[in-house]
Amino acid sequence: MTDMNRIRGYRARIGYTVAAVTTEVYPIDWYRVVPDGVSLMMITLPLGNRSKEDVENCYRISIEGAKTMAKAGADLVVLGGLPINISKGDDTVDGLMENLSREIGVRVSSSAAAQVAAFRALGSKKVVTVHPFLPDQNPRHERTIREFFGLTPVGEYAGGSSLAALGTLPPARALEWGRAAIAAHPDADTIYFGCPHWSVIDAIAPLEQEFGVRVMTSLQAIAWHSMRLAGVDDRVPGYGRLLSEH
Amino acid sequence: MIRGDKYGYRARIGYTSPPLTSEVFPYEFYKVVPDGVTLVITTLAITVRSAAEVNQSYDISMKAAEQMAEAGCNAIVLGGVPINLAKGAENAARMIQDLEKRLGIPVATSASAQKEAFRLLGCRKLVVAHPYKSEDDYRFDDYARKFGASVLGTRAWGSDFNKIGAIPDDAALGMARELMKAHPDADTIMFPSPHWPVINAIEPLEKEFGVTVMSSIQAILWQALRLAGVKDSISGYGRLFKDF
Repeated sequence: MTDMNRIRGYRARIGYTVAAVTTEVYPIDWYRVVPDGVSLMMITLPLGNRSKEDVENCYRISIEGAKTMAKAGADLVVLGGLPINISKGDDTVDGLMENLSREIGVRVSSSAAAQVAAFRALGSKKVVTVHPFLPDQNPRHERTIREFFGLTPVGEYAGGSSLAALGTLPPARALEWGRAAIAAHPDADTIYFGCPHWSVIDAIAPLEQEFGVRVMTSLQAIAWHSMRLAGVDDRVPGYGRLLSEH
Repeated sequence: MIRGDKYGYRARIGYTSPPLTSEVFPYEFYKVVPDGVTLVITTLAITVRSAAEVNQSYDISMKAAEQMAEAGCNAIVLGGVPINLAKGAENAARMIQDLEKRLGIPVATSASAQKEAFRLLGCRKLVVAHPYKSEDDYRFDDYARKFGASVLGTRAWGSDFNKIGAIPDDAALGMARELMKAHPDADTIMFPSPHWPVINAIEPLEKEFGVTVMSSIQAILWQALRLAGVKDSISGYGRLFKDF
């Protein structure tokens, strides 16, 4: 029964800048994970070929979008897109969030900060990364794990898809790729699924149970961190240790 | 059992969402559509609905439509009547034809979806409840004329454009009841804008007053589903979804 007096985001309204021209999977998985009353405000960004100019344009729009979401009543703004967040250098992310938060009067976080906090909460040390893109993205992921997160990259698994095709990947694919990644790198203590715009959340719990490892995904980290920063402390079962135990 | 098929296994609907931020639309979309239908959304540039924002949004819509087609959407709806009609009604009709030819998938606009819904539902005498300030009332008189109907009365919630996500769930219901009390000869309650919460008000109002309720989100979703080949009769959200 709907409580008709309430606004949609009666517990928390989370603003999020989506690092893609279109988004399909993110809102579906978001509303599967968060409890009723936690709403998502989205802005899509014109991220294309990830060139320097492209990323800088998205960075600028992210900042303007954050201001708009604050005016619209967001309780928290999360800047999405790890490559965009760290485009001014790894060491500028915290400063960016602090300055922007002061300017707009609303707490600001980022997908990068959410993932740092998630790795820390899970106690991850040796990470195998699974991403849906071509293998030419492996060095970028390897570098991010080592340099930005300060963890040990033990390997990467590239699904071979593209940004345009992310919405066509079935949930079973993440499970298959996760199994392949851990089979190739059994010394990993954590499977990390980068990018929150493909269907991953159904693979988290099965992989944690099957291999006794931690599974951390971008969307899981962003939803978890957003809720905790916005004061929503519910433990959510079914989508891994991060959401059910931390 | 983990799903072996993609989320949008029946249809993937592209939608260009006019406000710079989108909050209510995706939520209400998934309340209405059957399992296996997904939303592929691009947000546009509207914060105050200036001419510059409308023109910029028109351009973004055209680029987004191409990306949606490339991503494999089964149908596209270009949102925002002011954006759809920014270059005139004739251009809007031509634009749909041109895009369909170029992209190879069905295309509609918010304006064309609502026009078709008005026609099928036989809407003639409207009362209009909208989320904006009362200075926007005149726009809906104009829309109604374009859709072949007239407006008997209007209520405005009074929100700024960028704050309509914070309107309570019961606002549409309350405004519509006041309007029907003041104008009992109305045959249709119209809720313009698909970005404030109206979906829960449709069925109770149709039952309570024996009228038709026509909302933008209902028209957009109905048109998108039908264009994408999803012909399900959907209960709980008004005559349009159930009977057409």
